[in-house]
Amino acid sequence: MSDGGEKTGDPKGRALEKVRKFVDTYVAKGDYELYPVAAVVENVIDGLAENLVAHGRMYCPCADVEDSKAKGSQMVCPCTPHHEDIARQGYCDCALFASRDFVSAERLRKGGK
Amino acid sequence: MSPRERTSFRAMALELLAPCPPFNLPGTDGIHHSLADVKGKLFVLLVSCNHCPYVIAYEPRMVALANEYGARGVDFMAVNANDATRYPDDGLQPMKARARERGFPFPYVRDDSQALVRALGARFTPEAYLFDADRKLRYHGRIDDNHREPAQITSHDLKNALDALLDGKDPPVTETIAFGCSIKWK
Repeated sequence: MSDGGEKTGDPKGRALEKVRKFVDTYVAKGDYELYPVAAVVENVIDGLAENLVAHGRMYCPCADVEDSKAKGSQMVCPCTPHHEDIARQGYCDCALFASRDFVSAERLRKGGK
Repeated sequence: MSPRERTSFRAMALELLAPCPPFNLPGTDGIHHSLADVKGKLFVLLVSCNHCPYVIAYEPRMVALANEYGARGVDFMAVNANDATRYPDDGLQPMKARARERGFPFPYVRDDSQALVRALGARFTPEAYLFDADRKLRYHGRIDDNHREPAQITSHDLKNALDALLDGKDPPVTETIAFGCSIKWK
């Protein structure tokens, strides 16, 4: 999906394109799926793009950016702890990526309502 | 998949009109707070924490809402259930410092067992639950639709629900999708 960033020269639009491309590529690898609530995913993508514009890297929007900067690349998406977080609770702490088991369980839960 | 993971997968969001789960939790003010202590016409329970950037952005709004609606008989409370072993900033002592720094006009309680937030089916911080006089759930979700720019809020969801209930009407919207940091489960 294009936000028109390349055409308009808008930094946020360009950042959104870059983040979406990264997210699509990462999910296509097949280890994880997107968190199964589109509005939540969009909010995380927006936060990543904001941080990319403001700080030059896709720092996790669910972590303090200054703390993240002090940790090098550890809290740049896909962050170091996301594998462990997904293994523990089914989704990463920002709720961007999720395990297939979690996504299936959520679909079942919503379908059963 | 661990048993704990299975448990978190099963966490169901509290249904509309469901009763507020009972609790008795230590607060930053040094006393325990229970559901029975809540005497307000309405009760807003905010699932919160210390370290989440979304919460930090929302804290001035949480304080403003509590001050405005506290004067109209609404009780507010914030609960932090994040795993303080992995996130020491979310322990009771740092919570005390945060409540002091921000001048919280509401109890800020620690749910160390995570029982309350699991019973609520909460998943994010901040996440708002509004209960009526019978302590039945009438609104659940986000505080508003823009955590970053208060000037660009287009939907004051919690405030709208509060206004409606105080006017004796049903909230115009009863559920929205909360966004923020995920609760740090044990």
